[in-house]
Amino acid sequence: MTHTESFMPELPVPTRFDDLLDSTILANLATIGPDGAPQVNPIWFLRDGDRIQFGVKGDTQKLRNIRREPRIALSFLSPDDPRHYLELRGEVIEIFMYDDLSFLNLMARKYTGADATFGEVGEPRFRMTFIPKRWTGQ
Amino acid sequence: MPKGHFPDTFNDLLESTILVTIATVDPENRPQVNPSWFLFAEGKIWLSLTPDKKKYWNLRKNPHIALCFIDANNPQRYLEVRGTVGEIVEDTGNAIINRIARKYTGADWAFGVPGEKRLKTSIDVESWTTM
Repeated sequence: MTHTESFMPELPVPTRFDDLLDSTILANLATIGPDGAPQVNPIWFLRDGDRIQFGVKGDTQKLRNIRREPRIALSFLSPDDPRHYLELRGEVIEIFMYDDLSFLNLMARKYTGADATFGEVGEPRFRMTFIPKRWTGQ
Repeated sequence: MPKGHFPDTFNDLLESTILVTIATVDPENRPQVNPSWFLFAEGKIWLSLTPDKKKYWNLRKNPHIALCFIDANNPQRYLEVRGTVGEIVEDTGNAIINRIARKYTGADWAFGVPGEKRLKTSIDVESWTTM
């Protein structure tokens, strides 16, 4: 037996996962480090149709990991029902640098209802655009 | 990123019934990430595995693993642990899966296929990080 992609259904992601994708839960982002080992952190995210956007600060391991290996995974777990979750595997297709806090504030408004209370204009930040290729969940 | 074992200030997370988010690496060196039950006992993080899950095959080929424990009451607080899985061995008498099931459901494991072989492993922690 080996791994097989056939475990994972094809796109599109069913609409029964919209409650997770449109919620203010944190997603878990898994990336691959320079030594080939995984790392996983909670992140803010923003759904944009069939894409997911999230932010990464400059000069972080996460940014270096994604630049080297844009294939990542995201998981979304319901806080109300631990059996309900979605995993997306796919690729970061765009890394957009900005330094005016615009995307950070957009995310902060989603999660907190207000602009971010941290961050400074002029410091480089990165908006990642992710496209799922496969999904699994229940 | 601090090397070595995480401090015991996170024991409340490790002893709670939250799910841990586990990242493994597939044979094509892509990450995968799944929620999972776990047990923290004898100072170690234990996982129960079955051969019908891709996670198990990933870990057989590449033992590197990352685990993220998020505080259900305060999502700003989390512990990420990175390391490798130790030997993956048979969970004789379902000892570990029963302890895990009792933690989450209050009763022994009752969901498996009769006669199914369950496996167990624990994490050799290399480093950890938090918010």
